Order: sequence, then C-alpha cells, then structure tokens
Amino acid sequence: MSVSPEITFRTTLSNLRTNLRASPDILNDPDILLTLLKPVFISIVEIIQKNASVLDESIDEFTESLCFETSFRILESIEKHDLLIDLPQVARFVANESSVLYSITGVVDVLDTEHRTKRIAAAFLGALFYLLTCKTS
Amino acid sequence: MERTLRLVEIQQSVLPEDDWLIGITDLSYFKGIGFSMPVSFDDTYFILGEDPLLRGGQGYTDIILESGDDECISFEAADSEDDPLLASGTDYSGVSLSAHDREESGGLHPDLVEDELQFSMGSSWDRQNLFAFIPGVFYCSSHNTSVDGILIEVTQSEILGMELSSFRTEAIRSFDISRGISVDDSGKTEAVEMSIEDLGQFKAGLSASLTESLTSSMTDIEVSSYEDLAFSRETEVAQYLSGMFSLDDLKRAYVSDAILIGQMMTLLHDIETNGLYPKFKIYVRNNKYPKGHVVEVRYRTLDTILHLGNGHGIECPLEVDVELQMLKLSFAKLIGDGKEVDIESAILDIYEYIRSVLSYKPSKKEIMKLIFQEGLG
Repeated sequence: MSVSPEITFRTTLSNLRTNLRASPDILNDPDILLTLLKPVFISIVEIIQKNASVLDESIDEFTESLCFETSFRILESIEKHDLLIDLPQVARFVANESSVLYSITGVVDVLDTEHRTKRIAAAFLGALFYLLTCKTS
Repeated sequence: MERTLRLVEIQQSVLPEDDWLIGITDLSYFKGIGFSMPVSFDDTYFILGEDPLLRGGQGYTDIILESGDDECISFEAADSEDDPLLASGTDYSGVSLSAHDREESGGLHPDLVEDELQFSMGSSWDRQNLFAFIPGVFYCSSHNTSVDGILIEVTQSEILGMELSSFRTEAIRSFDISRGISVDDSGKTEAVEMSIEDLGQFKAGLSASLTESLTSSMTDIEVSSYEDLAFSRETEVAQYLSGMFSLDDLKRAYVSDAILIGQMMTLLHDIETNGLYPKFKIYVRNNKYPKGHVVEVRYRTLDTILHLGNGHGIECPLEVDVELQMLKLSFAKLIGDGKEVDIESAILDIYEYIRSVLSYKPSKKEIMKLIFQEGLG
C-alpha cells in the first residue's frame, strides 16, 4: 500500500523540524541536511502532480506558495524566519544558475512545462539550503 | 529623507524564462511600495432621509428624496444575487439623483455626464481590493515595452486549503549595492565596479566558473533526463553558493549575473534610445488580467497644458473599467509635503525627479553611475 504524498509531506516536514530543533549541528553537515530536506520538497511535487487537474492554471502559483509556506515553517523552527524576505531572490538565483547548467550539459527537455513544478520546488529547496547554511557576515 | 534612484526588480515567477519586470524608481517616494484601498462609492452617503438637518431645505435632495406625503423614497439596488438576469444591471440610484440636479439648476451640463457615468458604474462595484503601485520607468518583457508604472491588485483566492495571494512584498527588491562581484577561474571572488566597461567581465565570471566546477565533478554521471537528476543540479548550485558567498555577497553576485545584466541592459538601452519621456502605458495586473497587461493611458494634466484647461487625473480610453479602478486610488506620498497623490501625479513626480538627476536623454553610463552610487541606504 502506498502512502499519500500529503502524509509523507507532513511526516517529513515534522521530522525535519524536530531534528533541526534537537540538534542544530545538522546545519554544518550538508549531506544530512539534504537527506532531511529533499523528501519534503519531493512530496510537495507529488502533491502538486496529484492535484494538477484541480489546480489547472494556478499550478505554478500554488507550487510557489506551498514552497514559500513550507520554507517559512522550516526557518521558523530554528528562529531564522527573518531570512524569509530573501527567499524569493535566492530561489531565483538558484533557478537562474541551474537553468544555465541544464542548457550547457545538454538536458534541454527540462525547460518545458512538464518539469516546471519540479524546477520550482528544486529552486526553493536550493534557496532554503543556502539560507540555512550560508555564512552570515 | 534622502531621495535615491535604484534598480528595482519585480519577480513574477521563480523560473528565469518567465516574464520579467525591471525598472528604475525612487522607492523613498512611497517609502517602498504605494498601497491604496479604492475610495468607496458607498451609497449610504446618499441615504439622507434619516437626518432631520438634511431635510426641508432648498437643496435638490428634498425634491428627490421626499415625495409629496413627506415620506422618503428609498433607492435600493435590485437584489441582484437572486436573479442572474439582474446581476449586471446598473444601479440607477446615483443617476436619478444627478439627473434631477441638472434639471433643477437649469439646463444640461454635458461635461458632467462622464463623471456621473463613472459614478454610477463605480457605485455598482462591490469588489474592494488593495492595490500596490510603483511609479517609475519599468521594462516589461512580456510586452517588450517600457511603462510608466506598475499597478497590481492584491487578490486572494483559496485553492486546496491554501491561500494564494497575487502579490507578495518579498517579490519586489531594490539593489542597494555599489559594487558587483566577479569570480575568476580559480574560484576566487573579487569586487568589481558596476560599470559598462566591467560588465563583460562578470557576465562570464560567475556562471562560467560555476559551470566548470560542476561539470567537471559530474562527468562520471550519465545524465539523460531530469528524472535521473531529482533536484541534484539545484542542490549542487546551492552548495556551491553557500560555500562561496555570504548573503550580502550573494546579492552582489545576483546583480552581476548574466541574466540580470541582460535584463538591465534592455531597460537602459530603451531609456538611452527613447529618452525619459512618459510612455503613456501602465502595467496592470488585476482581476481582469491576472497574468498582467499593458494599458494605454493619457495624463489629463499634460493634455490640459495644451488646452489651457485645469483637468487632472488619469485617462484610459480603451479600458474604461481600468480607468475607474485607477481613479479611485490615492496613495500617501512620503516625500516632500507628504500629501495624498493619485496615480497620475505620482508618475509625473517620479519622471520629474528622475530627469532632475539625470537628463531627458541620459546615456547608459550615466544611469549606471547613478543607480549604483555609493554610500546610500
């Protein structure tokens, strides 16, 4: 029996939040941090794909909002919510650089509509990772 | 408060291939973004019968609001919710009031008709959403044109239990930087002047070294489709950026990036070619145009200078409903005398200011020097 993406989302998100609060050291270990972060955003993509027909034209907007809200909850759990204001810009930067990489490495088929949801979620994942780990000067 | 021109980006979507809006404006004018709730055409203003002080005089309200047997005639809009045929009906209460006014004061006043039409259309407007407004010279990629300002209706909708807002303040950012950043082949970062001469340098800089370091680390992996990647590109980019830049430096790098530079150059080229004259166009995103639309406008203040009149306010000949929306908005100006301004005066004020620090036809170089000047916060 498969578990619905909504449930996966809820459990992976609370798992991440619990871990971040319990041991802030995770922030210094990119591999562990990513193993905790990735499933949250992958389940977001699954939720969107499952409801694609209902979302219809609002699909991109919904994906961005869900990623934004989710990022907020994650940042909030370690009291870094003031970084939220920079999230859209960092997400755009990550998406910019990734799109350059996609075209250079010859993976051009990702630039079509089918992959938009994934690329949006991935950009937010990257941005959130950056905000959680960047040096604060 | 000190006035400064800044490069401002309005992010429509996180994906870079989508529409973009970039412009030059003075954000201190509204202290950020101008917000306005439309001034309501509330018809309770016109139910005067209840107040004894407003009855029995010589004003036209008597004649209309009271019938012979001293009873108020109430003007009620038809209950449009029950009857779909009446849903788009006009509310005539306002019209009849003013129609009598004209008769009583002798003769027709054709010049008033337009205002009354607006009034009656406006009074049937029940949506009252907040509007966000930024005057300034903006370039809008979806329409390949410059506009005089950006007007966004803040609409909320709910889908699958999530509130979607058409506008978030985080989507608007100004670049308060005086220097950019470049990355050389060895991955060393260096601050560079934001000037045309140095643009080529950082155009290649960041993306190239990023690509090199990533492609070299990925040669072993056979990448054929996105499915195999599962977010790996984005996480690698994020890891690379995290090791390389602090948040402040990241913002500099963002401006130095080829994509933003390309957009900025399009804007600067447009200004250099066409000069700092009003474009008579405004980018509007509202309920009617959720994906954004450029509307043609006219400024009565400018028109009446030629005709020696005293009209003011924005005109939008092809889109009467947008004109009505725009005329109802008023924003608190936070610079100078701090009064309320409408869209038209805000746009003309900003143009006046930009031209006072630049000129009518500034060069790219002059604009760059000004928007990236140092020591301003």
